[in-house]
Amino acid sequence: MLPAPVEQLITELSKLPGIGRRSAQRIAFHLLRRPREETQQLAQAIVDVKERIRFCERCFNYSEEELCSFCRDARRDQSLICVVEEPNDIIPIEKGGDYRGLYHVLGGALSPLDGVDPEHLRIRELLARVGEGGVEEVIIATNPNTSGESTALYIADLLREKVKVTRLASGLPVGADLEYADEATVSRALSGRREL
Amino acid sequence: MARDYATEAVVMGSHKLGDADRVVSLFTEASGRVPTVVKGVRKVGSRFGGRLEPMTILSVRLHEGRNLYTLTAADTISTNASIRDDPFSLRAGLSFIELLSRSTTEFERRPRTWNMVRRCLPALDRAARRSDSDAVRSIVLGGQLKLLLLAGFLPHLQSCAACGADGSVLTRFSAASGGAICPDCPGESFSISPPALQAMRFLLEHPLASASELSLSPDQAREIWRSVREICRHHLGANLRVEPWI
Repeated sequence: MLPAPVEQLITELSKLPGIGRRSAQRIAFHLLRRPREETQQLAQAIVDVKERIRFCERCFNYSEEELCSFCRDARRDQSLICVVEEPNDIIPIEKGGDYRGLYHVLGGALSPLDGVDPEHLRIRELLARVGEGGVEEVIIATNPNTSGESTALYIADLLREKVKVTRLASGLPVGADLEYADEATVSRALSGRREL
Repeated sequence: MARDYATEAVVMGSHKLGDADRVVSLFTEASGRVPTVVKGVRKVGSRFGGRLEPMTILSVRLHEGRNLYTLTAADTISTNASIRDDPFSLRAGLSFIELLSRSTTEFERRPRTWNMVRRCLPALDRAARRSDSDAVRSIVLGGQLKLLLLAGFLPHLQSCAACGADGSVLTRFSAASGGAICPDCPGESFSISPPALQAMRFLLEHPLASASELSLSPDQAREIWRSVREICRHHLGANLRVEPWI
């Protein structure tokens, strides 16, 4: 029904996360209506990101160079490493503005049901970084779910003798109503309460 | 069945969907295993929050859509959080959940399996809370053997499953033959000790509440687990990924 290039574009767009065929059609027709320069910029941006972006050799965040901007920044606290599951987990921590240390991206979390075991994550590289010395604290910021918690426990067991290991606090989200909180969250919030 | 209905459910696991949603696999009392979309659950302010962690028992309300079910309400019956707090019991619990997933099909109501699962997880939680690793082993293996029994794969352990010889000479286990076999019978099999066979019989013949009375050595537990894994591989065509104790 549609010309082959349009069909091809719709097929490719519908492979993107959260994009179904109908959304892909809308985007394809939108692109057809836009000026040629604009669509070329989009195409070039996609090509550039694949050609120029790689993993930082130290922390495995996305980077244009051998080391990412955080690892290159000498003003950041080199004695602190925050361990996250994926590069996009760094964004909210940076937006918070309170953390000035380095990062380490694991590339996922332990999930035996999905066949993700320790050797599939960058845990060995984290141990090597800590082993090089100069690190005083490792903050584990994996997601507060079963996979994230088991990953945190596993890493803590490996590092406990070498450095101080801390975990992001769990509890009630700012702005939420206690009434709607689930039992597991309230239980965590109670056990992690602090004196005022 | 109504398009909206309430039932009890056990959370089996989940995977990400889109930006903030998840597809959660629920084992429900009313409809068996049901893949259910939970919208916005990955957002910090989600009202479902920590209720959808594996092995939690819930009272849920589901909306039956054209292709998928959607979770519209969830109240916790039992968090079973102690199972998840310790790596040993977590792995054991996930091993049980994996076999539950492999031995059931979607949208098939399984009342007897539901009743067993509903008892097994709280028992496992109690054992994990008192850090009783022996009880964790026995309960998980007892639960897994009962899952196989309820799926129609009861291993034959009283006499040779291949030639019918008396039970006292059983030294090997063959999933292909359907249970324990004597040393003379050919076929793919592995060595199994008399205490492990005896423990399997005990776990199959007694209710789960009695499982923690059984003291299993790590070696016996490994032998029983291997039998469970081989039955699953041979009869269900599935390789279990989660070895409960490594």
